[in-house]
Amino acid sequence: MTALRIRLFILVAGVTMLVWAGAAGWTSFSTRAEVQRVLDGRLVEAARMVAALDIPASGPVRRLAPAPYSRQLSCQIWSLNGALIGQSTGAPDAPLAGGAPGFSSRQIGDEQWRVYTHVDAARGIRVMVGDSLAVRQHLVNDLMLGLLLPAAAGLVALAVLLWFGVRSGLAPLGRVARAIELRSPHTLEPLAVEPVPEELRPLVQAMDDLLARLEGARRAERDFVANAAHELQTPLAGLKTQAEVARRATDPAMRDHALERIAISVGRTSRLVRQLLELARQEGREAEPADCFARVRDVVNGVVGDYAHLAANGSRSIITACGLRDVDLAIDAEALRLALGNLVENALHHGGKGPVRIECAANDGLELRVIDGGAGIAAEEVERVRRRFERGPRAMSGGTGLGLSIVEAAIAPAQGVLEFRPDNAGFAAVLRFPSNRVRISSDGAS
Amino acid sequence: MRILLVEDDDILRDGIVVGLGLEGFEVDAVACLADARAAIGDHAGVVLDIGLPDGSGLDLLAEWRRAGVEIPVLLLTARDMVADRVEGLDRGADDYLGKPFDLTELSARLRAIMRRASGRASGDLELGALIISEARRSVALDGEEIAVSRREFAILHALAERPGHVLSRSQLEDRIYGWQEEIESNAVEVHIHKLRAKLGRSRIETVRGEGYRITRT
Repeated sequence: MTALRIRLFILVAGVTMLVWAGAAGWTSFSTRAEVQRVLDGRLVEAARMVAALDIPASGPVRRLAPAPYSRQLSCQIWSLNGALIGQSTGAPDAPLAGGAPGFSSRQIGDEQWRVYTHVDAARGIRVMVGDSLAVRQHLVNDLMLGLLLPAAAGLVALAVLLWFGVRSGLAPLGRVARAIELRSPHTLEPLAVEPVPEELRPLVQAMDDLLARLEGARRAERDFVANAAHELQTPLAGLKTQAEVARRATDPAMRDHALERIAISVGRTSRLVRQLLELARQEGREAEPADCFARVRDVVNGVVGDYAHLAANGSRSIITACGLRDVDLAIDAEALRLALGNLVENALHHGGKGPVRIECAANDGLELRVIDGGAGIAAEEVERVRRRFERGPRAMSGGTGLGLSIVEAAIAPAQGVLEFRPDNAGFAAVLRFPSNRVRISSDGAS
Repeated sequence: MRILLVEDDDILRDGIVVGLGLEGFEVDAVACLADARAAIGDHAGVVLDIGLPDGSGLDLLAEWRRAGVEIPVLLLTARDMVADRVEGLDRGADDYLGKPFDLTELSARLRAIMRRASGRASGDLELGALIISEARRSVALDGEEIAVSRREFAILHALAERPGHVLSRSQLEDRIYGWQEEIESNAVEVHIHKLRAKLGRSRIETVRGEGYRITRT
């Protein structure tokens, strides 16, 4: 924060200084030139004025009365044959210039002179008027100082103003930073910084969106843990009660019965825990990369193999009508197997007496249908059974109510959706995937 | 003491039926709201689970209370949340118990709500020199402990709850036998006979054509 402020200040102050220095340089240069021009003009005028005086070309050397500005201007009047006719007080005795008319410079003693020479041939005189360059320089310096000193003082004031300006300009940034700083690490509330300047709005907005998503995820996690704990209470209560019965049973048959129930309940409870873990794992998966393909037919065959035993136990069969030899789906093969397997298991448990059919269809996306001969789920029940931990009205004991949630979580990364609909043969649970996740390979032989 | 249990988890249901049986209760058990509606009758108490496959036990409870069913109800709650318990009690439950629970606690609480329903605060019924302890299921006469069977205790307890009040044979049968049990036609008479042998003949009176009652002293 401070770093940004200092950076901005240095940048603005630096640029200001640069512009100021340029302006000062330019002013100094042009002022100097102007002063030279004006002073040169004064020399010319003074020389002409002196020449216009009625001064005899010969006679004793005159001393002109010292004028208030004599220290600045020195004047000599020479005859054309080289005799000094007159000079101003303070003027050096040596000739100020060589004699040629016009401007010239000369070093006399340790002083540098700027001289204008006016020649009046008719009267036989030569007038030389000169400025000491040191005096001129002094004048220019005084002038420059008078111009630049107030400007330099202004520069200091400007720097102070800039500093406070930058600070107050960046104040909203400071407010946002403070709002973030002061947050407890456990709150995921929106930042609530107002007013926010337009430039910061996207940042604050993005931050708030992220916080909202995090909050949603955290709430889902908390609900999940609460629900999971809740779901475990009932089987634990059953286990505890049966254990107590076994402990207190007086006759061996009662004890055996209780122990048998305990064994069954442990099996069911561990299945529940397994499904909870499976659901957590499926929900934790990142969005699927679109280049990880599963061969649909292989997965279907795998699922048939997985559940052949369960089907045979109930004198049922699993039939596949899946002609798609060459269709690949962009999904993790294990996830698809898990989803399809759960549906097949549901069909085996609830789907009446007939065989369970798995059908595939690949027009406009891919559909995998698991069809059973059962009554299915009434339309008004569908929303309920989709909810986590909700069992259908004819649920088998020991069902966890998690199967459909697992199915949905498993296919969600591949943009798959789960649908239920009546089928002419019975009831169909359908996994549907959009066409952009489906690839038909050219080598149909595999 | 015949009670109705409404619980959908079959293992827990079975455990409670057997366990409360060990505690001296006769338990009729059902797994859903529809069956519970059909089954509720002459029960001394109900153990009701909240989350049932065809709805919430709380709704059934409210329905019963509206219909004037005053049988004491103990709720089983898996969600150990204050809001749930408060709602349960507000809807007419007499007590609640969070899962998992102790069988002994369940039976103690059941006895307590049934006792409160019959207007008594103490767990002991005192009829002069005869003291019937619900918690210990024991009977004492003149300070002497008397051994009684489960059924004998149930009949004695049923009669002692309202001394002087006549209970018919079928009412007594309802109080002490579950649905599935075969009842021999003279079972109640046999139990009464044995009780009289243990407590003295005058303690339980026969009201001809009506049934039995217990005397106050």
